[in-house]
Amino acid sequence: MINWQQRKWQVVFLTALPTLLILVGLFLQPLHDLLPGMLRILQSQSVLLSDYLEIGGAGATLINAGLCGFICIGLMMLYKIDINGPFIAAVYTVIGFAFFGKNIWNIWPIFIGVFLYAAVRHESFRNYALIGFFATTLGPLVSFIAFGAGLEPRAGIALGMTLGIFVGFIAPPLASAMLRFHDGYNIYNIGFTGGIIGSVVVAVLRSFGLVVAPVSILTGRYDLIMKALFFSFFLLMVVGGLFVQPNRIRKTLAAHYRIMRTSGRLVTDFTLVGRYNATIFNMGLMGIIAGLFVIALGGEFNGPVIGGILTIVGFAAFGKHPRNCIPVMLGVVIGGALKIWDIGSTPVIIAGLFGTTLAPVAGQYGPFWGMLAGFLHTSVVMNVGVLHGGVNLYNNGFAGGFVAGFLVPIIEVVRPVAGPPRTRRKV
Amino acid sequence: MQNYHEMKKISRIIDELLTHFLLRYQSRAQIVVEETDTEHMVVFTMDDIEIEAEDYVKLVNDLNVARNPELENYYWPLAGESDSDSELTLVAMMSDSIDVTYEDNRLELRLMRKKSGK
Repeated sequence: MINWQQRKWQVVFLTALPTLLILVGLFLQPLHDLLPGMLRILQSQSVLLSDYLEIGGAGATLINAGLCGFICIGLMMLYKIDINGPFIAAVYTVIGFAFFGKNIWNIWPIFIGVFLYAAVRHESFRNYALIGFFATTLGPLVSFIAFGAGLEPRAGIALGMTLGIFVGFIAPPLASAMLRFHDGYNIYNIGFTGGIIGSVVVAVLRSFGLVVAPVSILTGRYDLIMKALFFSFFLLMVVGGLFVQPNRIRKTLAAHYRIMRTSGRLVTDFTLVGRYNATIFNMGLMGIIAGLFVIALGGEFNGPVIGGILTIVGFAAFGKHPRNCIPVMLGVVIGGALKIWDIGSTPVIIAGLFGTTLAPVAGQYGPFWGMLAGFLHTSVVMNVGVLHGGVNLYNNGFAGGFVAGFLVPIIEVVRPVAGPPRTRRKV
Repeated sequence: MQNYHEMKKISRIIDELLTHFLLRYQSRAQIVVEETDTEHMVVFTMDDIEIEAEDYVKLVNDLNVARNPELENYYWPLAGESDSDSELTLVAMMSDSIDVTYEDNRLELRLMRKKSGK
């Protein structure tokens, strides 16, 4: 039974970010340049790392991100889907990646594929919508085939959409199957799934002579505006989460303490653990921490970095909190400092942000193992992107799957968790 | 295949319950599974155990979650998987109703799960 009064406020909360992005986007770019900017985004290859801020301009990018968010929210309304932690994470992830790879065109073939899968199983799309939202990680596959493979445009678009529908169709069973590889310790499970699908598809494409390779299109031109925009929004979330019911501040803080005590392993829905106020507070807090992390490393708020921050904020409703994220981020920083990469470069910074896909390792086994996971993640993530050529946007989720699948069984052996005290049978 | 998945889901629910309670209590556990045309009923009992009030409240809270097909269809393989963590909330998301009783040191959980499309 839906509580409509409660749902109204949940919808207001979920639509706040996409509404803000569209409104700000309308003012950031001359109106006459918005449509051409949007067309440049839609016609880009979109493989990693394609910063839409550089390709289409700030206004078009923000509007693309806002519209992608509204498409997901619209589907949720259409299918009467609950607004809970996993779906908040999914919507924020789609919005975040709409800064560098997802757009209002290339996400649809994936949705259609998932819809067809549900139809074949005689079930509602509602039951697979979550996988559908996350599976848009393979949107660049659609865009690359359409505009980057050198095919005649109409043939490219048709082939790209067909391939998108195909990967959408196979994503649901694969996503569930891949969970067993890491036992839920890699929060971006679809990133791992998308990496496997992308690697197989790209290997086939390469065997026909197509060259699929990552690119690096980045800009720091909108750094200050984006910092001001997103820090303000995160601050509003912190204040809103705490003070929307002033008489419940202590209860909200107590609920946040309960959130902080969870490991974050899949499936940990913070809207169930701590209710909405504490969840929104946690989301804002994690946004500020992620933003400060970027600034501390000397990074800029470009498309991929904003995507990383928004994904953390979204997953702060579904598994991430300061206690389980900070150790992983520190591990990535230590790895970045000791290894061959520039610690202030975008790839290392986004490894630190998206590396928090391994937060449950820290949440379950403690900060040392979380740091080790982050340390390993830096190396793995820099090496797996070549497999799928950048068509899987959640490359860190792909890497995180390997790290968790490798590390967790070892941890279980060398550091058996004390677990709850075992009570003997009464004699 | 759907029937196979349905059976696997029941097995996972049982696996998760057994793992959760055997990790915490050293006692005799019993599981009864009944199937009708429209539903599965799982009755889990554990005798002679002492559950702290705080743990009982947490148990009831964890299980007080409505069935959620959107999450169940994706995450059900995780039930019963971890060596050191529990997924009781996921069990609740896979059940249409759960009755919990704890009397005279006897815990009984009655889970009802409607079959797909019933």
